[in-house]
Amino acid sequence: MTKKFIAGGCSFTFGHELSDDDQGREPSKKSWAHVLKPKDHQYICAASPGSGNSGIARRVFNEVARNPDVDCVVVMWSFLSRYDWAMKRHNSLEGSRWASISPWDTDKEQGRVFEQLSKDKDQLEIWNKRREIAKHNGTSQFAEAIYRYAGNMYHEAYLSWKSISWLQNILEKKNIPFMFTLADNSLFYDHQAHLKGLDGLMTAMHNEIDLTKWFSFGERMMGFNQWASLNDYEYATTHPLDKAHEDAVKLMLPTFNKLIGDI
Amino acid sequence: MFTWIKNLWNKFKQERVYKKRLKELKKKDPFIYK
Repeated sequence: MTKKFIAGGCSFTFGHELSDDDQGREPSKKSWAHVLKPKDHQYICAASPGSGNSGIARRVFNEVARNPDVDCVVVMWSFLSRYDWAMKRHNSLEGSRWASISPWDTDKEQGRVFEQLSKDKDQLEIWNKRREIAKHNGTSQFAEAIYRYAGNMYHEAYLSWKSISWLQNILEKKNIPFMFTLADNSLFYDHQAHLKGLDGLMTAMHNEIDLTKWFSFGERMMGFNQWASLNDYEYATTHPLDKAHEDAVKLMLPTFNKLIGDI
Repeated sequence: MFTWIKNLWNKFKQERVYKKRLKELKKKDPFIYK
């Protein structure tokens, strides 16, 4: 039986805008996770562009539950402000149920989207289609309600850390070796202040996260995107290109080998 | 009249806070498309 290597994350793991990206139809073979995968393993990409941390944990768990012979899991956690929600059934939703919601789904400042995507007609077309569908399946109105009335950093950090601990504990229970990393350190920091200092609950939640199973790109839990930007790697519209992924893997390998061992 | 102006002012303030927060979130997470 082929050993399985599961990768979870957002567009950075899926490989959006990398050289082999075909408008997001298939996960990239140039992304950090695919480059990191041992050659004799089957790659299962549970990453989805635009996903938040609850969605990342859900998709990885789903793959772990469906596959009995998982040998290893790697996850690059994403931004705090994205939500994952089971909506009323609609064909356009993931599994006819799940919606990934980001601040860009609100009606405000749609002009900025057009401004940023105007260079790439294909991306603009994808975006317009997505907006149209979102109006029908209710995610557009829901995003407006979340970010206007309910969303805040405390709750978003709480949900993200809960998802991280949940997945960590499941993987430990199932004896599946894993390595976690992150796209951006806003998962743990609000500018200079660590979010664990917000109150006792957040301190306790942070203590549950086993940071010895993490790889970060520098001090203060620097994330992949921050590292790529700081080191002037070439970018597409918003994502670092292939070279950043290749070099990131070189940095990750010692931690990966230590945590995962000989698989 | 005074209440009407106060409500209008509060609505304007709420709208400004919302717009500011969205701008901040979009700056932190600039990845537009799915």
